Amino acid sequence: MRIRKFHLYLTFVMISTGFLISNSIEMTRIKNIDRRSENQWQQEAQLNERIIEEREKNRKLEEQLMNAQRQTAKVEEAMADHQSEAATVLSELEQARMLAGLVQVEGPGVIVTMRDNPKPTSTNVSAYIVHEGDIWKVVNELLAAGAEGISVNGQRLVSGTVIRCVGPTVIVNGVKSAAPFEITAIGDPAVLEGALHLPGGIFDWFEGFVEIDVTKKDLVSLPAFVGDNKG
Amino acid sequence: MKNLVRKRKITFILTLISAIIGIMLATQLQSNLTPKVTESRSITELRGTLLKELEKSKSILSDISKYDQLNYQYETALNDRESIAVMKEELQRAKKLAGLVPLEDRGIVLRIEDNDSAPTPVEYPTERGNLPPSGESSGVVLDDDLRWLVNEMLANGAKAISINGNRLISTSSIRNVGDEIQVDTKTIQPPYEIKALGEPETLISGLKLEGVENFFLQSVNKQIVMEEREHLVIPAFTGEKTIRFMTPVKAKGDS
Repeated sequence: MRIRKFHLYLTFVMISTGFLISNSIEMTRIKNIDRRSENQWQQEAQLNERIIEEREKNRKLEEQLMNAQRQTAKVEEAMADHQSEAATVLSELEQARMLAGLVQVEGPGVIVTMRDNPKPTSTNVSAYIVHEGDIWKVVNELLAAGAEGISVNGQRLVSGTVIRCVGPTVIVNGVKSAAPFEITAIGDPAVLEGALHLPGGIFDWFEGFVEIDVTKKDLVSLPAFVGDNKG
Repeated sequence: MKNLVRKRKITFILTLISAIIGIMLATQLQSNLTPKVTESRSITELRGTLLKELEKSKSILSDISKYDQLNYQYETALNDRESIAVMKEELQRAKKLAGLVPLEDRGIVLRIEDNDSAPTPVEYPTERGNLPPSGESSGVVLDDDLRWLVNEMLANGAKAISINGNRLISTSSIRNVGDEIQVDTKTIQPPYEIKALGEPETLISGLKLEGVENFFLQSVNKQIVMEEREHLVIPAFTGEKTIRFMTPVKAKGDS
C-alpha cells in the first residue's frame, strides 16, 4: 500500500521534472534564435554612445543659446533705459517672445500630476489610462482659466504643439517621456486650481478613473520651446 | 522498525526532489523574466532617438545664429534710430511666431457639415468609460472633438490654424460653455470651419489616414469636407492677452 503511494508521488514529480526540462530546452532554443549577433550588439552600443554624445552636445548648445539670449536682453534693456520708444517696443517684444515660447519664463502657478489608475474597478481598462485627450482636457481647462504658459513633462506648449500617446509614453513636441504626466502652468494659482475643482469639472470627470492631483506653487518655471515651431 | 526506516527514506527522497524542482522553477522563471527588459530597446528605436537629437541640435544652432545675428545688428547699429529699427524687426519675427500677425500660404479648408443621410443611432455615453475622444451626445460636436482634430492636423503638417476665423496660439483654449463652444473667449457656431496652412496633399492624405472622416461620421454623424487652397490667409490672433504672472527668466546660472 505504502509503495503504491510512493509511486504516485514519484510519477507526479517525474512528470513535472520532465515538463520543466523540456520547457527549459525549448526556451533556450527560442532565445538562441532570438539572440542578436555580436555585430548587432556592437551597433547598439555605438548608437547609445552617439546618443549620449549628442545629448551632451545639445546641453552645451542650449547653454550657449541661453547666453546669446541674455546678451540680447542686456543690450535691449540698456536701450530701453535711455530711450522711451525702445522701452515701449521692448515690452511688446518681451510679451511676444513669452507667448511664442521663445524664452524661459517663471511665475506663480500650479503643477498638475496625472497617473494611470493602478487598480481598475471595471473591465473597461481603457478608461483608467491617461490618454492624449485627457491631457488636452486639463490643458484646455487651465488655459481657459487664464494660464499664460504651460509645459507638459518639461516641453513648452506652443501653437504647433502636438500631444500624442503611444502606449505608456507621451510624446510632446516630438519628445518622448513616461508617466506620471506633469502639467506645469503659470497663472493665478488660486484661479487655476479652482477651475479644475469646479463641480462637474475636471476632477469630477476623472474621479475614480485616473489619478489626478494639483499643487499650488509660488514659483514655477517653464523651459523655452526648442525646435522649429511651424506656427 | 524496517518499516520506519523506509518511511523516513521516502520522505527524504521526496524532500530532495521537491527542493530540486523548486530551484529549477526559480531559475527558469528568473532567466525568462530578466532578458525581456534589456532586449526591448531595438536598433530602430535607438536610431529614431539619435535622429531626434540631431534635429534638435540643428534647430538650436539655427536659434543661436539668429540671436548672434541680432546681437551683431545691435552692436553695429550706428545710432538709436537704427537700433530701434532692429528691435522692431525682431518684434515682427517674434509676433509672427506668437501668432500675432496674419499669414498667407498654401493650405486646406476643412468643414464639419451635417450628414444628409439618415443618422446612425448613437448611444449616449455618460461616463468616461466611453472615451476617447468623443464625449456626451450624438450629433453635437464637442470641444474635445475639435481639439483632437486640431492635434491631428498639427501632427500631419499644419503650420498655423484658425477655427471659424479665430487664430489658435499657444494659449488658446477650445471649450464647451453650456451648449456652445468657445475658442478663447469667442463663441463659435456650427458649421465649424478650420483653416490650416501647410502642404495640402500631405495634410489631406494624413488626415484621411488617421480616420478623421470616419470618426466624425460615426461619433457625431458629421461629414468632413476638405479643400485644397493655393492662397489661404490665416488671420492674426485678435483676442486680449495680457500677461500678468509670467516673466522671462533673466537670472544667470539657473538654466
